[in-house]
Amino acid sequence: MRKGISLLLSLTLTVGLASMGLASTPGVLTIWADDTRAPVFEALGEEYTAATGIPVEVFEIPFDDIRGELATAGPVGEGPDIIIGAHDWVGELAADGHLMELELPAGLAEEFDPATLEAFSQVGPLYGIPYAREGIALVYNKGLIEEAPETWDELVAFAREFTNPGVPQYGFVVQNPDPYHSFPFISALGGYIFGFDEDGVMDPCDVGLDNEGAITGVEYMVELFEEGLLPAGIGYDEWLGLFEEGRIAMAITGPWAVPSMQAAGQEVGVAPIPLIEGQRPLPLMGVQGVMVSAYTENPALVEDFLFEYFVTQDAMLAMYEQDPRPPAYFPAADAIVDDPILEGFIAATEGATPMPGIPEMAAVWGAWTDAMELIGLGELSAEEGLTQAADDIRDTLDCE
Amino acid sequence: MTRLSGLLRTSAPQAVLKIAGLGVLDALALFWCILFVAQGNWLFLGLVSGGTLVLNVLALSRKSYPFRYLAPGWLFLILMVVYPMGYNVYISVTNYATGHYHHKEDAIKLITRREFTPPSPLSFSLAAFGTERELYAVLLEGEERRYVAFPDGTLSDPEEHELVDEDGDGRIDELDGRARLQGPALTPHLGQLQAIRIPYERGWLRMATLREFRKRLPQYVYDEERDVMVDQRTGMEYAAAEDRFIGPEGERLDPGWRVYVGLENYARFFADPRYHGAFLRVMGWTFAFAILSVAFSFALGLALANLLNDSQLRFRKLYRSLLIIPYALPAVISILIWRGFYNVELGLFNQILSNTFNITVPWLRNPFWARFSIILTNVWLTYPYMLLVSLGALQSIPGELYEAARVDGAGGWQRFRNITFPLLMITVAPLLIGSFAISFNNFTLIWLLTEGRPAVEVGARAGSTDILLSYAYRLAFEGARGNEWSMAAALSIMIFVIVIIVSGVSFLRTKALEDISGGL
Repeated sequence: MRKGISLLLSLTLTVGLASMGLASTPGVLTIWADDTRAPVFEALGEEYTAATGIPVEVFEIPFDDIRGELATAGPVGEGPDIIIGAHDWVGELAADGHLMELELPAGLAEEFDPATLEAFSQVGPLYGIPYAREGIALVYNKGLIEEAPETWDELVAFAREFTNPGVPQYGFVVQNPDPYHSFPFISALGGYIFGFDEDGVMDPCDVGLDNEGAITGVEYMVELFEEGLLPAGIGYDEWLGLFEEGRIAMAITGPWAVPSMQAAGQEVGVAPIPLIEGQRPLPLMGVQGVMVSAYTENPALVEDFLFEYFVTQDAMLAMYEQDPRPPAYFPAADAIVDDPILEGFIAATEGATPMPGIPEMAAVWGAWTDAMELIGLGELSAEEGLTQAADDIRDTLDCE
Repeated sequence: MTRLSGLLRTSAPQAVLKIAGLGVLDALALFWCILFVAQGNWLFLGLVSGGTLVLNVLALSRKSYPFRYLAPGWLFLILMVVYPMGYNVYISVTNYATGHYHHKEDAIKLITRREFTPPSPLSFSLAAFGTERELYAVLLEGEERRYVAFPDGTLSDPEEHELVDEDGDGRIDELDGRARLQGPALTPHLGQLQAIRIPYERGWLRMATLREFRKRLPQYVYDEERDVMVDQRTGMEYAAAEDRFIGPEGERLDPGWRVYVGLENYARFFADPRYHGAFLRVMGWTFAFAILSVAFSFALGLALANLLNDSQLRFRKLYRSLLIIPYALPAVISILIWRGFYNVELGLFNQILSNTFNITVPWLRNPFWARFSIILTNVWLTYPYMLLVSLGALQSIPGELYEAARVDGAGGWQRFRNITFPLLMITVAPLLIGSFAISFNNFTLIWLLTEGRPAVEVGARAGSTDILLSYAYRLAFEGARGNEWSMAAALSIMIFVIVIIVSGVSFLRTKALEDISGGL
């Protein structure tokens, strides 16, 4: 949703951009990164310039704007050579031909977490070099619950004990309606968004949001709504405020929420989401990485810079320092010790599937959010809601 | 003659200033025009050169003197209103959407640029020769072969050139009398080096790293005669359909391209229930929202203005300042604060209600209450504007009218009904129409407060609080595959037409009001 706004903005900014001088210049390496990652690239760029004499220009652009501005500025020769971004941008950018296909030097693929490479290859060719993966986990307040529960029953038992909406205090919270955050309930017993055909290519007509596993999983969520243990509609800011005040014991959320919880003085632990019927509910994995513009006039510099300077233990660790997410590059991941929060998130996303990044996802979020909302309000059962959503998605994507 | 006389009439310094200003403007325009010619951007070339010509005539000719003051207005009208509208109309008659971003020739260029490393890779170490200013040639040394390559992509045999190894270390230091370029001396030539494509066997050699040229094969070759794209790895042929290349079994080759589709987007909107299904419901709510917002906020603003206009009231200035606060706060922030208030479990309103009366209201979770909340918040956001407008208008009503009415024995309500209100409407009515149009398209409020939710049914494309504009937004960006710009453009033009009709009719009725005042 937010991406649409930024696209609109970037369209209107076309003229302004052209005069900002963000040009892809032959012989000069141009990189677009957001404010968190730009410092790492600036440092790497200086190192590169010192060694080769090749100028590197790093432009700081808001994360949500990078994708739209590449589409606007790239084709007219004003774009970057390299952008930083998320793997789920690939589908849309590649559909419009904005990205260059990449080939890893022999042997390098083995040094990456395979799921992260897979995430950047969902539409076929490899379109990005991953550096970190992220996903949601069970984040708990150690002051309220000593250890994370192992099983769902334990979690519910604790929530029954602890929850008192009148105070208000909640044993367990997950954002709703927000399919990204409730996906673990879908995945636990075998639900999925899109399946894959025999070649391993994503098949948008194989929608798995309404299979038996998905429905049974969401019913576990419905029980919490019905018992009053979980607010039917709650947004990120609302529950985060309560967590910071020490009124929430456990929440399903991502690494981005942790710093403000810690700043508020809460002692935070991170663990995998408790087993439902003995199965691990896995989140959708997001992968961060760099992509190369199809309009680059510096293919050799790009390759040189990326494989000689970016894919190194030092650079990957520097990225981790700036933006603490599990590194996708094994030599960097192995070098990190004694970060229990990171280890928690790594454990929770072990084996998770990357979020589908194909353009068809635009059709998925709307209907799925509607379903989760109506299920939360008790107007539809889990089965009705999910079946309707999946049918609508198939219909929109013109599947039989 | 006209030019001279125009100049002579003004004083010398003014004329100099004018000529200088015009000179700068013309120079800039010429610069742009050269750029546009280089880019082949004929539309902008015409617009800028024509516009500059008009400006010059306006500035120099005496006859056009009065138009000089209108010209800037026209310019901005064209830039800010006519051009975006025209562009919007243009987009709405194309298939512009994800996958159809480029024009066909650009799409072909992008597809044919794709390459891959052959199964048996071939690489050459590179040594460049030349001067600081000019790249002369590149010596490519492979395991078996050696070539001298020139910047235009031609290869020649090293035997035909003079290669000198001065210090005898096996590295060539000079080629045809040009020195080997290394380190910083090579940097200025990197752009040119990377642009070299040397045709080689079925592919080409190109610079792949700072030290090497490598052989690459084209992944697709375009057969212009048959308008077919051939995959070099599989031999599969993608034939050009209307807006993309399509394989024998319907495989889509990205990217596609942008074509003119006429009124297809409009037709698709009316033919496909997925698009128009919710239109009438959404339009009904949009009108209700805009009308009720304006009506309530105007009523509240006017009532408060009447109170504040009463000279017997103490602390008027203080009240006035306090009442204007909602107007002074940034709406984006206050809307989010309201959203927090409405939260069912944790919000301020329900905490008060449940503690005092033991009731809970499902504020943003129930269609009726969500709509109620939106109007309540919008009234709070907009009444200060109405208050300010009404205060100004009230003060312009001549006091004699009230005295005369009092003499005739009219009471407070009669005075308000027969004097205040009709006279007020003359000044305020056009502003109310403006407020209506703003509310009609108040995307920010809806999106920040409810995002159009709660949902009516799964996949309805519009929630119970979506207005036309947010509905258009959803259709465009939550539609199907990526973004549907052209559909969004078509819808926004339909919305534009609706607003124009409503405003036009209302303005006609305001004219009628003015006639009343003329008779007074």
